[in-house]
Amino acid sequence: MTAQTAYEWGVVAEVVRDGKALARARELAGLYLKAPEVTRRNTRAHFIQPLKERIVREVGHGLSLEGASAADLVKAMQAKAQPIAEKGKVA
Amino acid sequence: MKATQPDYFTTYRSLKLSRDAQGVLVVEFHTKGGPLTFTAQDHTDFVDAFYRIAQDRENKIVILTGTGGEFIPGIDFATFGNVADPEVWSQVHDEGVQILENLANIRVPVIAAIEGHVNVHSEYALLPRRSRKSGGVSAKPAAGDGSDSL
Repeated sequence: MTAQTAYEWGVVAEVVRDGKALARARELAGLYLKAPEVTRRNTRAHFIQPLKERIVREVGHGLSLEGASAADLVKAMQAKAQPIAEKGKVA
Repeated sequence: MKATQPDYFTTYRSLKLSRDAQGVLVVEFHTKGGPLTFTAQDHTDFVDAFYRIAQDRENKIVILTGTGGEFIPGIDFATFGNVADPEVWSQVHDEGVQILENLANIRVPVIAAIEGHVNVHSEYALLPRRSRKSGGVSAKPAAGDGSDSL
């Protein structure tokens, strides 16, 4: 997907011109540093909390599904490598 | 600010860490100074790297970014071994959980500055509170929901 689509989906907060992402990140860092440290830390802790909870609940399931898919892929690759005569039923 | 940099800054082969006097830590994902090709060793390293970054209170802001106009464009699957083997996948599974939990446990603002391709492990770019992406390049759909609500 393009950066623009990612932005429209709410996946990224901002789109900048090619090559400008790090400079913009540094600019934002400077902005955030104007707040006191405890405020900065606790703002981050607050906003990440819902996502942290979802990670703990859901990532294990996702990785289990991914593992099954990985095994299925390996199985498919091995089946492809077998001689054709061994596969299928004989009429 | 300490005169010498912490040991963990140079521990991880695929991460270049640098920090300025204000405590802004920049973490650059790379393979030998170019765009990162992700390996099993990286998967193991990142568990520890994100934990150490979170533990060090001298890091006041964390910026994640790639190298050479890309974030993580490629992966070397062969380095993971036989992923159909439950013992092999068990390590991938455990590390995967730990990497994401450790990233989420960084307790200072994290900003992802993303250029180019996010084909591999896009969730590392999306857990930061704000992600900034440069325009007009391709990425796979996100693994998780966006965390930037401001």
